[in-house]
Order: sequence, then structure tokens, then C-alpha cells
Amino acid sequence: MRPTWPLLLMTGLQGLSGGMLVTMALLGLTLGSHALSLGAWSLMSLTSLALVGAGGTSSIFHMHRLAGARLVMRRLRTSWLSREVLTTTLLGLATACTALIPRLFSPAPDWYLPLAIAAASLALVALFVTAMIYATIPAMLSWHSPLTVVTMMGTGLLGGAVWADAEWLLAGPRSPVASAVLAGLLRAALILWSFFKILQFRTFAEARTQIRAETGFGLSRSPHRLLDTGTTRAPYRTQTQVWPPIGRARRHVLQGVLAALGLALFILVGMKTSSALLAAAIAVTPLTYVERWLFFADATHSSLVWFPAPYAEAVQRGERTRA
Amino acid sequence: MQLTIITDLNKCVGCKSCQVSCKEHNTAGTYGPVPDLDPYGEPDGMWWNRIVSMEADTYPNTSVLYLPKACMHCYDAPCVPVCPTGASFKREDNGVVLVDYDACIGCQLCMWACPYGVREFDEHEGVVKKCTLCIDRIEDETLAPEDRQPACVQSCPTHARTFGDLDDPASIVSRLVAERQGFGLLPELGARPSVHYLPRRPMPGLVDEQTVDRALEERY
Repeated sequence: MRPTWPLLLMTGLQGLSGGMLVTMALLGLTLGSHALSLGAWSLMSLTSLALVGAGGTSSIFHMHRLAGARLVMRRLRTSWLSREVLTTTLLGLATACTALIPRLFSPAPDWYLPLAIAAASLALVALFVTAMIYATIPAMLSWHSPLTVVTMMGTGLLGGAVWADAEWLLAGPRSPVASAVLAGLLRAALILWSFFKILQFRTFAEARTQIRAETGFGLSRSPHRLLDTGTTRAPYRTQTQVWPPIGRARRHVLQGVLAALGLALFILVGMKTSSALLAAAIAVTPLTYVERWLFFADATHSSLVWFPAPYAEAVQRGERTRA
Repeated sequence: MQLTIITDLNKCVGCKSCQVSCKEHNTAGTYGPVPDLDPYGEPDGMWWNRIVSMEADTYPNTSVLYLPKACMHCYDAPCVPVCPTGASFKREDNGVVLVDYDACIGCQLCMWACPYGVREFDEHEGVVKKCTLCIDRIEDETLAPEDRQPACVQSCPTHARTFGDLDDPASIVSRLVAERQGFGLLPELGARPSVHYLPRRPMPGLVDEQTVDRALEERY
């Protein structure tokens, strides 16, 4: 699969924004809305708004023909992409409300916490809907799994929580107990997330072996050798789904980078100093994007049975040789 | 009604006349012109119908298979429900899956959803295009009835391709599928393709030289 930058930005930023909103609401629910200073609420909600705004804007660049954009919510009954447009728009509005209210009212009104909880619930729905776009495509053998939903939502929630943790400390002092509890929870979430990511890597590895020439060609005898994919050139330049899969070495290097970032994050979130938490927030951003890039680039589409990797790679190099 | 094409893999010789006639008709046609970056140079660009060539097994039992692959016009077309704008749709009256270019936003989600990789993105117009089963021909009442069929079917020199209604049990295509165990590609993905292929007959066993000599001696 070819990762496209609007999708990487959109899914990553929406996840971080949603994760921040959920963390804000959880902090408000458990500690009470007055446990966080108005500055902390304001900083978190404004960051969340900036993230969801940037993500929403980048999604516009994913459309190649804007004239049809007025119809994007026409298939709400069947299309998760239509639903994503609706839920992300609503999330943007809810985030804007949570960001503006602390600036308009001081102190924040009593209904601010219920509003933040509603926005957080909407964020969870939006993250779920976005993940379902990918999880419900049977032809995407790597993604057609509940693990897609779990890891996609998990990455967003974890990243947003780390950002919220750092911003809370940057906005002012807090009790050592709250810091310790939050650090423990973040570490537990990171371990859980790592567990599901390892499971997902196994699913991706299995997907690479699921392409069956027997059902793709109706030939029971093996081995099979593709002689010609139908033309001497790439399918209309290069289609995204038959983009050459990344090689084993590149995959392992990126998985190693992900593990190193995860380890750094595990150490940093426990250090409880503002500089360490800022470093954690910085570390979780590349972690999100390495994870998301691998999610797209390492995915296997069923049509690769007719465009096996060596052939596709030759096509990418501009060669017109046979496989 | 479910219009479809049945391909007899015993008859297909891989000449690619169906591929070329598809390109020719749809480049010159009015419904969905196939873009071509250099139409007077080397054939390049979008192909709605591709002939995949495949070799199977090991010497001396090798065989080569030619598989014409275009839109399968699936019963449960996965490309249709994922489309946010309704640009991808399946005609209720004849089962043909089409794309409304005016409604397409070019998000390419349908290309991911299609298990067969037969949808192609037109980077010039920013929309996704695919085989239309030559809907402009099959519904053109100015054409003679025998000409109201897809260009690829009409151009096949070996009559490997047959066009008809798969939902009509009396049609030729239904009978071919029923009598000769017609199969669809990638059935495990649940799209229920309407396009079927008639399987290759098994190759006759290999005859060595001694057997040939013995047979000749017995006969003569």
C-alpha cells in the first residue's frame, strides 16, 4: 500500500486530538473540574482544536475532485467514510466549544465538564468510525481484523494522553500523587498497546501468506509463475493498492524504531519533570507516525496475487521487463 | 437480471484482442473515455481489461493460463457500499456496477475495497474508472441486436467469451456455468463475482517414446 500524506496526517492528528479530549474528560471526572486550572483546560482544549482542525484540513487534500464533495454524506447508511465526515465534523464543533468556553467564561460554568465529557464521547465515536473504514475491507487482508480498531484507537488515545499529561504540568503545578497515578496509568496503557501492536504485526505477517494463487487463478497446481500482468507498464502509473510492499529489512528497522520510541516513552512518562514529559510528548508523535506509516505501507491487498511483489517493484523502477 | 461475461479458459489463447478492443472502444466511446497519456505512442495508461499470463507446475507438466481480468460486476460488490458519495452504484435492472464521474471525489476507497484490483484512478480527471460492461453498446437500440454486447466479447477470435444474463437459468451463460463448473475468482472474500471462468480441462498424461513405438507397432 502507498501511504498518502493526507491520510497519515488526518488519522494521526484526529487520534491525538481525540486522545487529549478523552484524557481531559477522565481527569475532570475523577478529580473534579476544579482540580485542573483554567489554564490547563484552556491549553489542552486549544491544542486539541488545533490538532483536529489540521487533521480535518488535510483530509480535504485526500479528495481529488472537490466538485463531488457536497455529496460526501450521501451514503451514511453504508459507508464508514461518509460517517467519518459526519463524526469528525461534529468532533471539530465540540472541540471548538470546549476550547472557547474557558476563554469566554471565568470561572468555567458548571456545565463545562458535561460538555467536555460529551466531546470526549464524540471523540471516541469518531476514532471508532475512522478505524472501521479500514477494518471493514475484506480485500485489505492485513486490516480486516478487530485489531485494526483496537490499535488505531489505542494509538490515538495513548498519544493524546501523553500530550495532555505534558500540557497539564506545563500549565502549572499539580499534586505528586496525581503525577504518580498518571505515570502508572500511562505505562500500563503503553504495555497494553504494545501487546496489541505485536498481535497486529503477526496479523500483517499472516496476511502476506494469505494470497492464494489457487483461488486467484483457478489453478490448483503449484508453483505458479506470473509471466505478464496484462500490460508492459504499471497499472495506470501506480495504483495505491498494488504499491510494492516494503521489504523485510525496512519493516524490521521501522519496527525496531517503534520499539525504541516505546521504550523511551515508558521511561520518560515516569520521570515526572516538565522537561521529561515534554520529551515524552515529542517522542509519542513520531511513534504515532511510524506506527501509522507501517500500518499503510505494510498492508497487503488481495489483488497482489496478480501483481506479485517482484513484478510490482520492477514496475516502480520503470522497467518493462517480465516478472 | 445480472449481465455477465463467461470466459472459457480452454479457448483463451492470450491474444489480448479483448484488451485492445476494450481500450479502443472506450477511448473512442462517449460513456467513459479511457485516458491515455500518449495515445499515438506506446500503449500506456489505463486498462479496464487485462490479460494475466500465468505458468503453473513444473516441467514436464507445465501449462500456461491466460486470464482476462476486468470488473467482476459482483452481486455483493464491495466497492459500492464504501463509496461516500454514491458515485459507485450497481444498476438494479441489469446488475452492472458503474461509476458516476460527476459524483466521484477520487478518494480511492473503492479501489481498496475491490478484491480484484480492477478499478483504476484517472489522475487527470481525479476520478476512479472501471469496466462498464460496455453499457453504451448493450443499451444502444440503434445497434443490431447481435452487436449489443461488450467490445471484448465481440472481438474474441476464439469465442472464449460469452455474454448474457446469469440470473436467467435458460441463458447460455447460466448453462455454461452449471454444466462446466464455472468458478469465480477469490470466492473467500465474499464479493460473489458474476463474472465466471470455465476451468481448464486436465492435461492428457505424458506419453513416453517407448509407449508411442509400441502403439505404432500394434497398429501397423
